[in-house]
Formats: sequence, structure tokens, C-alpha cells
Amino acid sequence: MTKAITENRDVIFSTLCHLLEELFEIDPNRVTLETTFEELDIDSIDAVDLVVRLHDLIGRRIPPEEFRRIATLGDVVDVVQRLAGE
Amino acid sequence: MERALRFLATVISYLVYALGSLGLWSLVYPATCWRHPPAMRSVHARRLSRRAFRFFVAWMRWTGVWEVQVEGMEHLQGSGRVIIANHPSFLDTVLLFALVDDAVCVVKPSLAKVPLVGRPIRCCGHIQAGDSQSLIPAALTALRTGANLILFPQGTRTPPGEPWRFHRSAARIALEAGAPLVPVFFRYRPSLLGRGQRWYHVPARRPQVMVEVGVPIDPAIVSPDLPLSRASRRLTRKLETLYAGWERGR
Repeated sequence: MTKAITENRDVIFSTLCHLLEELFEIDPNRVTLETTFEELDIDSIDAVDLVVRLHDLIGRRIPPEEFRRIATLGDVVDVVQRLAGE
Repeated sequence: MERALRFLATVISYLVYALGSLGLWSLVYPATCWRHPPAMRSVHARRLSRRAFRFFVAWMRWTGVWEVQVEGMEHLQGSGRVIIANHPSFLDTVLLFALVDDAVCVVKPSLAKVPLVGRPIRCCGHIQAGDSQSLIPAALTALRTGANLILFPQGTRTPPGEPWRFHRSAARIALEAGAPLVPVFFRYRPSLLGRGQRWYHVPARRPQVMVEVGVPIDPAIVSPDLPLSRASRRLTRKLETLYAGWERGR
């Protein structure tokens, strides 16, 4: 069970890295779960683009109040994992 | 002696600005706006505002507060353009409002609370850059109605010599609207009303202001099939390079 969850997190994280590369030209080797949006120079317009793409991928809307709390890539993985699991 | 006279002219100019703004927005505008349908009132307000700013720029020239020279004025004519500028001084706004027809400006939300400034911001329908989710649609609507959009992509007054770091919203708006981007470069010698300078700081010699208007840039120069998020990054980098070159230039 725990193993499945960690694997799941890895998949979500690598999908997220692909998205960051595709949308913002961010090198996947530069990022970890602790990397913040600020470090990556992702502004609020970018964040909206990212939310839209995540929505397409997981088929669930990410509530804006949920997204406002997000600071790091790890937070994104948490939210996606929780929404996908519900 | 010349400096003392210029100090006096400066004091009078600010009085003219304050009283003029008060008279315009609490007397002239309320007395004339009813003749226009509600949807056209902001256009009317912007027309009044441009006339007032033209007068004020001419006044400061005439009284010797500054000398102003504009190059490439023809690029500012037209409608539906995204006009961007560096922002070394408070007076950049004054100059752009005098030079650009039907100008909607993206302003810092804190300005809406400043006396003498908040009212014209609301009457003219300037856009408060609070959150980008409302900024972009508001900017696109203004451009579609034929207004020119003024943005300071540095976000706030920035003294010369600092690294060029632009917010990407200007590029993004131009890309989404397919609107030409007109770059404007302000140069003050010596500096006047920059960040941290008070209104009574009158420079030792008369400031000369150069306004250079660049050739309009078609946002499609960055490859059109990129996602907007990447295209606006590339376009913003191009703009930063352009301004860095401008600053080195002369």
C-alpha cells in the first residue's frame, strides 16, 4: 500500500516536471519536491495555465483556495494525489 | 538664480496639477459626463484627461521646469496598441497620458487610494493590476474597444542602471490580443521625481527628458505555435534585451 502511494507520487511528480518543461521551459533536472514556484519564476498567470493543464490531466478541478496555498512542487503533488484518490 | 526660479515654477506647477485635477474631476467631468451614455463615459473621461495632461506638459515646458524631446511620435498614433515603457520617474505617466490618445493604463492597486489620483483612475477606467486573472481579460477588453494600453512592465518606478526584469503580463496581453507592442524609452538628465525623490528636489540644472518611441513589435515574431506561457517568456526576454541595449546606447 505504502509502496503504491510512493510510486504514485513519483508518477505525478514526473508528469508535473514534463508540464513545467512544456509550459515554462524549465529543465526537469533543476527541480525537486522542495523547489518553490518563486524560485522557478512562475507568476500567477503561469499558475493559471498550470492549473488548466492539471485539470485536463486528472479530470478534476483544483479549487482556487486549494491552489493559493501551494508554494512548492511537493504541494502540487499532494493536492493532485488527494484529488485523484477521492 | 535660475534654480530658484525653477523651484518657484515647480511649486506653481504642482499647484496647477493639484487644482487642475481637482477642478477637472469634481467639476468639469461631473458637469459633462451626463451627456454621454454610461458605456462611453470612460472614453469621455480619457479625452478630458489627455487634454489636461497636454496642457500640463506644455505648461512645465513653458515655465522652464523641464525640456522634453520626443522621437518617433508617429509610432504612438493609432489604436489598440500595447505601449510599454521604463519607469524612472512619476512624470513618465504624465508624458504618456499627454502623448497617447484614448489611453488605458495598468496601475498599481495602491494608487486608487491616493487622493487626486484615485478618482481619475476610476473615471477613466484604468485597470488595477491586482490579480492577473482579472487583469488580462480587462486589458483585452480595453484593446478590443480600440483603447491603447499603457503598461510599465517593471511594475513600479525603477531607477536607471538596475537590471531589466519585466513582468510578463505586457507580452502576454499583446500575444493574446495579437496587438502591436510599442516600446518607449524615457531618459531624464538629471533624474526628476524618481523613486525616493521628493517633489521639492529641484535638480541643479534643468532636466532634459528624451522620449524615444521604438518601432512597433509584432508579437508573432516569437514562434506562433508555442504555448502562450512560453511565447510570453521569449517575448519578454526580447523586450528586456531591447531596453538593455537602449540604456547602453547613449
